[in-house]
This record gives sequence, structure tokens and C-alpha cells, in this order.
Amino acid sequence: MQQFLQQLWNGLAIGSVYALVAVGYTLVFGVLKFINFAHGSVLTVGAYIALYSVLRNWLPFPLAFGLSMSLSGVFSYLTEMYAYRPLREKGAPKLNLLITSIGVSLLVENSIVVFVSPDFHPFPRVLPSAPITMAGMRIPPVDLLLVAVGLVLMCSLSYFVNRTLAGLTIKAVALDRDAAALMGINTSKTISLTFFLAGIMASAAGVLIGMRFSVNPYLGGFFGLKSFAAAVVGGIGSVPGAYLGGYLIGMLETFGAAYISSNYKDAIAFVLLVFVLLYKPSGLLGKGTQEKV
Amino acid sequence: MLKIDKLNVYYGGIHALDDVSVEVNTGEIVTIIGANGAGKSTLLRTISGLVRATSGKVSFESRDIKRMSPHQVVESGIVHAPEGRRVFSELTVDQNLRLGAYLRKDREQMDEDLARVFQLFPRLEERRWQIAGTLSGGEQQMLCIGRALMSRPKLLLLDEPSMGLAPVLVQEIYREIEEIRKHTTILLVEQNAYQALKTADRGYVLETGRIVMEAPCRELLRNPEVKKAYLGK
Repeated sequence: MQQFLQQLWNGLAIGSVYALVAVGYTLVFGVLKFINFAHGSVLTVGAYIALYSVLRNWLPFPLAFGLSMSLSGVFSYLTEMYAYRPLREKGAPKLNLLITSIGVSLLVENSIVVFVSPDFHPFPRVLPSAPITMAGMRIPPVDLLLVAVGLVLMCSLSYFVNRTLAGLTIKAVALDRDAAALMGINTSKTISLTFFLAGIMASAAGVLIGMRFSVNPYLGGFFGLKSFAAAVVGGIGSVPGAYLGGYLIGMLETFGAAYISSNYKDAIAFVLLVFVLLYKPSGLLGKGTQEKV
Repeated sequence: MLKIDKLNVYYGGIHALDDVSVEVNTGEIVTIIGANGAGKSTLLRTISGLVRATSGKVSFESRDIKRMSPHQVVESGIVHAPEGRRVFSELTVDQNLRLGAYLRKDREQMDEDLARVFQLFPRLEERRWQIAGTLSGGEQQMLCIGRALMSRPKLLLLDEPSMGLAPVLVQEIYREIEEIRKHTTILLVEQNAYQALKTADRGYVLETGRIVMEAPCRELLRNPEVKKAYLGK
């Protein structure tokens, strides 16, 4: 029982990371109907911004965290502006966007290796490292922060998208871009906003995962891919689906590692992905999509 | 009010609009009738900026709107209720209407307009918190028109408001159009030529991308060619 609770908590922590990143894939897929494979690189950029702000003593940690989130939001917005928008305006097929996004992610990853550092950096200690003991569970403070930040950001995002007019425009553009334009919505602005929000969420995950493990150029590639699996498992295009998929993969992974074998840990997300695609291709909470003629 | 001059549009390699000239004056209902594929919807989509014209002029209140993007066209006072309703199916009726008023800043006037739309379409008020995708076809059409009215357009572009509706509902929608025209100029596109010509002041007949006739509706209703081709008499 003790171990079960411990694993449950671990799963919740790592699941928060997947959920935060998965929701970005889902939001962007909603408005543009393509998978932004560069989304993971926003996570890496976010982790590095926070790392260097703290390492060089530029800013205290909370401010560095905030700075990382906003700058990563802007970075995500700029990738859309300079990499995808020109293609969209020329009416390029979706495949070109997809290939471009893979290009962007390679560019970011390798630029970090070349211009910053190829090393794995431990994050400076900003939180006490001694685990907190709670109901027999040993919880590292960073995990506590991860779960809390995850919950706050996810609830805020859901509130924003469902309850504010600016957020509703994201839903409107996702449902029918032309009809949204006919309401007077500047759809390009809405798409920019979507990328910005996706960037904020991913960078929060990036900073926290960097603290939990280490900051390295491949952070985004690794967590990005699993989070993408989470988004598809939950139903791409669905915000609650991304949360569910994220937590589900986080849980299965930690329980799999604890009770089956830790060797299979990284395979579990993709095994689940294969099963979901086989039996419910639209994802757990996704709506069956039909290609419009 | 709206002046379209020698407009040419190519759409997927097809010459969809060929030297089309149409004029709408303030307070009028003007209708464009024509068969499926004649270019009626393309014309409206070009006015609202969803489709780009190759040549020609589109001006609204003496401003050139041809190069504007759709949201700028809405800002200038033209709102397009598109063919096939295109309501936001997963959002509530209320949210759909709010999005219709997206560009409005004054909340008080917005509530006033919401009340006006509900007065015009009481059924939308009953279904205010319902998901739009669960409405019947007629109710979705009402929502589509109501949503367009929420931005207080000077000119309303209506595309096939009778499409797929039972005759009783067509009557109802057209009664409401009569009501709307008291405040709003309307450009109406219809396949249901009889209904459109009965309601509008002037009409144009569009055939494979060209305007072949233009006359007051009373005359078009009596015209033997129109009767034969569009009224089935």
C-alpha cells in the first residue's frame, strides 16, 4: 500500500509534465490541424532560460520561472510567425508544415548543442532537496511544485478557453476557421495566441522537469514525443483529453516501472498509443473526426 | 452602399465570376438568384474577403474593401451569414451569439442586441444554454442569422437561408427577414428563386458566373425566361 501510494504520487508528478506539454499539441492541432513537432523544443528553450537566469544569478528563481514562461511563449509565437505562417499564406499542404516543424525542432536542439552547451546541467538547488514525508510517502519538494503548478496552469487554461471571449475565439477557430473570420475574429491573431499559450504551458513543464532530472538539449525531444503520445491517447484536439492522456501515461509508466520492470518504462507510452490507435483511433475523449469535403 | 464593378474571380482553375457588377443601395433587399454552381456563394465569399478576386472593384460606402481580410470587412459593417449555417456546433447558443458580437466593445448595447435577437427568434432564447450542434436545421439557421445580427451590420449577406428547411420553416425565416430589413440592408442569395423574388426589391440572375439579367423583382417574377428556368412554370 505504501509503495502504491508512493507510485501514485510519482505518476501524478510525471503525468503533470506530460499533460502540460500535451495540451500544447492539442491546442495547436485544434486551430491548424497539424502536429507541431517543434513543440518539444519550446520546453527545452524554457528550461535553458530558467537554468541560465538562476545559474548566472540574474534573477531569483520565481522570477526566472516567470521569465522563462513568458519568453518561451514568445518563442513559440515566433516559430509560428516565421516558420509556419509564410507556408500557410502560400497555401502549402499540411505535410510541408509538419516537415518544417521537424526542421525547427532539429534546428533548436542542435543550436543549443553548438552555441550553448552539449552537456547535461543539473539545475541549481533552489528548493530544499530533502523529501517531505507525508502519509508514509516521501515526496521531493520539486514534485510538490510540479503537481501544484500543473494543476494551477491547467485550470487557468481551461477557464480561459471556456469562459473568456478571447479564449472562445480559439475554440471558434478550431471548429470552423472561415466562420470565425466572418464573426470579425482576426484568425491570425488567434493562432498566434494559441502558440503563445502552448509555449507557456510547455516551458513550465520544461523548467520543472529540468529541476527534477537535468537540463539538456534533448529534454524536449524526449518528453515532447511522450507528451505527443499522451495528446493522441487523450484525443487530439480535446483539452481535457490532453490532461487525461498526460496523467494516464504518467501513471502507467511509473506503475509499469515499479511492478513490471523499469526497463520497459519508456516503451509503455507508445504501447498505450498503439492500443488506443487500434481500438479508439479518435482518442479517449476525442470526437470522431471526418475529413470535410 | 455596396458597389461591385467588373469582378473576376478564379476558383480552382474555374472562372467562377466573370465581369460581375452588382449594386446594393441603403435600405434595399437585393437578391441574386441562380442555379447550383452559378457562383452565388463565391460572390458573397469574395465580398466578405474569404476569396480573393483577380480583378475588379468592390467598394462599400465608397471605401475599397477588395483587399481587406474578413475581419476587416466585418469591422467595416458587412456581415456574412454563410451557406450551410456554419454555427459553432460544440459551443452553446449563447456562446455563438457572443462570438457574433466579438468586435463590439459596449456591453450594454450588446445586451440590448441580444434582447433584440431573442425577440426576433424566441426559440433561441429557449435554447440559449443548449449546444448549437443539437439544434434543428431551422433553429441553426436562426442562430446563424441571429449571430450575424449581433455585430449590428449595416449590410447583411445572407447565403441560402432556406436551404434544407421544410416549407413552414422557410416561411418563418422569410417573415423574420422582412423584420430584419427594417433596420438592415440585405444582399440575399437563393436557389429558392420564388421566395427570394417575393421578398426582395431588386434581383440579379447569375448564370455560370455571369449576370444575365437585372430588374426589379416584380418584373423578374413575370419574365417568361425566369419563370421557365427558375420558377418551374
